[in-house]
Amino acid sequence: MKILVTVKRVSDPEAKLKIKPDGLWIQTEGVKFVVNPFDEIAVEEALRIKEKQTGEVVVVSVGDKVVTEQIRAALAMGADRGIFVNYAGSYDSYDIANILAKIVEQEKPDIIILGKQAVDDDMGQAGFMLAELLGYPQAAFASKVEITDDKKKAKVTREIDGGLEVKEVELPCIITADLRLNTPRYASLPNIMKAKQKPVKELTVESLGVAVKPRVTVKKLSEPPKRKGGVKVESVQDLVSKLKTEAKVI
Amino acid sequence: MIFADKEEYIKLRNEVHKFNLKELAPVADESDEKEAFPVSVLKNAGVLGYVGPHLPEQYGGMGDYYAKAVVYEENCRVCFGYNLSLNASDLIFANNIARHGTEEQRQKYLPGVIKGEKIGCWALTEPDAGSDALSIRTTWKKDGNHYIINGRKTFITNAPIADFFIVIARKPDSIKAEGGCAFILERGMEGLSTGQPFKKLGGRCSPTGEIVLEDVRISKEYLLGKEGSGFKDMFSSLDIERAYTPLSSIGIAQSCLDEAILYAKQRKQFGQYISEFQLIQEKLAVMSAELEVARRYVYHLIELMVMGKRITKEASIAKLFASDMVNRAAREAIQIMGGYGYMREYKVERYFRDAKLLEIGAGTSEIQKLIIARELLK
Ligand SMILES: Cc1cc2nc3c(=O)[nH]c(=O)nc-3n(C[C@H](O)[C@H](O)[C@H](O)COP(=O)(O)OP(=O)(O)OC[C@H]3O[C@@H](n4cnc5c(N)ncnc54)[C@H](O)[C@@H]3O)c2cc1C
Ligand SMILES: Cc1cc2nc3c(=O)[nH]c(=O)nc-3n(C[C@H](O)[C@H](O)[C@H](O)COP(=O)(O)OP(=O)(O)OC[C@H]3O[C@@H](n4cnc5c(N)ncnc54)[C@H](O)[C@@H]3O)c2cc1C
Repeated sequence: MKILVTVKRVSDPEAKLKIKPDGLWIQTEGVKFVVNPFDEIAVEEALRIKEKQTGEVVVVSVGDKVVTEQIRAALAMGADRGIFVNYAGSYDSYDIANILAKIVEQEKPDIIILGKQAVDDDMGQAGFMLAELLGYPQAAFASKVEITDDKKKAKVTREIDGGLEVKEVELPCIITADLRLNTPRYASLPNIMKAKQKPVKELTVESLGVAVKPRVTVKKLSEPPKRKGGVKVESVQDLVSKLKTEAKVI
Repeated sequence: MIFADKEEYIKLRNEVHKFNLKELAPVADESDEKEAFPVSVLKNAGVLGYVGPHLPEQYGGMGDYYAKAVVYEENCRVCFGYNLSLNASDLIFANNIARHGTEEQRQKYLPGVIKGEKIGCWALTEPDAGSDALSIRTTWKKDGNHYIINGRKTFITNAPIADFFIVIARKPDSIKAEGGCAFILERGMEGLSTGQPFKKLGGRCSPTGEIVLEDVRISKEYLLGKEGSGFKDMFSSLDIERAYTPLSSIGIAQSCLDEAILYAKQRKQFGQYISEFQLIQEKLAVMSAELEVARRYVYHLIELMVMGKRITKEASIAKLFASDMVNRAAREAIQIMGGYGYMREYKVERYFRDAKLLEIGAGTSEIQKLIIARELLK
C-alpha cells in the first residue's frame, strides 16, 4: 500500500506572532516553524496503516528550500521518502491541489492523506479541491480510519454535529485528518539518524507542468481586537439585564 | 562543525525537548515533592532510544556519544533529578559494563538498561571515604571459586531502586590503587540490602541511599574486569563520565535564564517592566555570557572525549566553571523573580536547590581545583 501525505511548514502555533509592516504576512525572523499539526496527524495515520499493511509512506511539501526541514521531520517519524516541490512564490489552495494532482499522477498512491487544514491560514480547501481534480472519493475530517480486509476500501469515521458518521470510500481515495484521529509519535533516535539518509526528490512546478496563479490573495492581516477589561456586576438582576441589553445574548 | 550544530542533533534536541515537555515536565514538581523517581518516563524514553544511545548497537544502543550529550543536556533543562538517576544507570553503570565486562555480562545487563526497564547504580563512596576514594574499606576475599564481600556504601544514586549494582571493594590490607575489584551485584542476592532514600536538598526525585553488604557470596561471573584492576578500570572510565557531568549545569542554567527572561518581560514595578531596568539587564546579560561560554567549552570537551584524547584537566575545568556558573545563574534567576522566585510554585526554586549538587557530586569543586593544579604543575 502506497500512501502519500502532505506536510506544510507553518509557524509554531505557540509562537507569539507579529504582523509585517506591509500588513500582508507575519514576521518570520526568530519564529520557530513546525509541521502543520494536522499534517503530523496525517503522517502518523499513514505510518499506522503502513505498519499494519506494509507498504510505503511518501511525504510531499511545496515551498522554498526551508520546507525540506519539515520533510525531514516526517522522515524522522518514520516516513520512507520525500518529494520537495521547490517553489518560492505565493500560491493558494487551488495551486497546491493542482501540484498535488500531478504528483498523484506520477506516484499513483492508494491513499492520499492531508491535514484537514493548515493552522497558518486555516483555508481547509486543498483536500476537497484535490479530490475534485482527480475525481477520487474523499472522506474529510477523519477521526478513525480502517482499511477493509480486501484492501479495496477505507472505512472512515467522521465527527459530525451530534454524532459520528461512517463513510466507506473506494481506494484510491483522499482522507483529511482531524484532531482526534491519533496522537502523533515522537521521533525515535534511530529514526532521526536514519532520516538523513532517506531520499528526497526535488521537483519544480515547471517540471510538473503547473502554472501557479493564485486566485486568492491576502489583502491585509490585522491583530484580533484587544480584549476589553471585564466589569463586576452587583446582583443577578444586574447580570441578566446586561446580558439582555448590552451583550444581547439572551 | 561542532556536533551540536549539525542538523540531526538539532532535530534530536527539539524532539527530546518536546518529549520532556509533554512527559517529564508535568511530573517533575510532584516527583521532587514526593522524592519519587518517575519510572514511567524512563520506560517511554527507552522505547524512543533516548536511553543509552552511546552504548554499542548490538545491545540496543547506537554507539553515539553526541546523541547522549544532547539528551543529557535536554533532560537537565527540565528535570535534573531524573537525569541524575538516568546517568547513574546508563552512563556510569552501563559504561563500566560495556568497557570492562565480558560478552556474557554485556548481554545480561545492557539491553534491559537501554530499554529503560532495568536500573543500575555504581557504588564507590563510603561513610568514611568520599573525596579520598582510595580509602574505601569495603573488602573482598576469595573462597574457592567465589568471592565474599563485606562493607557499607553510602550516597549511592539509585541504591534504593536499582536492579543491578557495581560495587568497588578492595583486598584486606591492600593499599592505594592495589587490590581493587569491581563486582556486579543484583537485588535479591543474600547479604545485600539497601536503605531508605535519604531526604535531601536537590535532585530529589533521584533516590540516594546506602548499600549494606554482609558476607555477600558470589561466583566469578560477577567479577567485573580483572581481579586487582578495579581502581584502574574505574579511573579509565571516569573521564568519559566526567565529560558529561558539566552538561547538567548547562541544562539547568538554560532554564534559569529562560524563566528569568520570561518573568522580567511580564513583571511591572515602578510603572515599568523590570526587564527595562539596567540592573536586571546586567544580570541577564552576565547569565547568558557565562552560560554560552561554558556551553561551548563543554561541547568541545565532549568532542575531545569522543576523539579519545586525555581530558583529565579539561573535564575538571569544565566541571569547576560550569557548576560555579549554574549556581550563580540559579541565584540570579531567583533574585530577578523576587519573592515569587523564592516560592516552590516557581520552577527556579527547584533549579536553585538542584544546582548545589553540581559543586559536590562526581568530585567536589575543591577536588577539581586540585586536579587542574596537579596537571598544570606536572
Ligand atoms: C546526591 C548525591 C548522589 C551521589 N551519588 C553517588 C553515587 O552514585 N556513587 C558514589 O559512589 N558516590 C555518590 N555520591 C557521593 C559523592 O561522590 C561524594 O559526596 C563526593 O565525592 C564528596 O565526598 P564526601 O561527601 O564524603 O565529602 P568529603 O570528601 O568528606 O569532603 C568534604 C569537604 O572537604 C573537601 N575536601 C576533601 N578533600 C580535600 C582536599 N584534599 N583538599 C581540599 N578540600 C578537600 C571537599 O571538597 C568538601 O568540601 C553522591 C553524593 C550525593 C550528594
Ligand atoms: C518568605 C517571604 C516572606 C515575606 N514576608 C512579607 C511580610 O511579612 N510582609 C510584607 O509586606 N511582605 C513580605 N514579603 C514580600 C517581600 O518584601 C517582597 O518579596 C520584596 O519586597 C520584593 O518584592 P517582589 O517579590 O514583588 O519583587 P519585585 O519588586 O517584583 O522585584 C523583582 C526584581 O526586580 C528588581 N527591581 C524592582 N524594581 C527595580 C528597580 N527600580 N531597579 C532595578 N531593579 C528593580 C528587584 O530587585 C528584583 O530583583 C515576603 C517575601 C517572602 C519571599
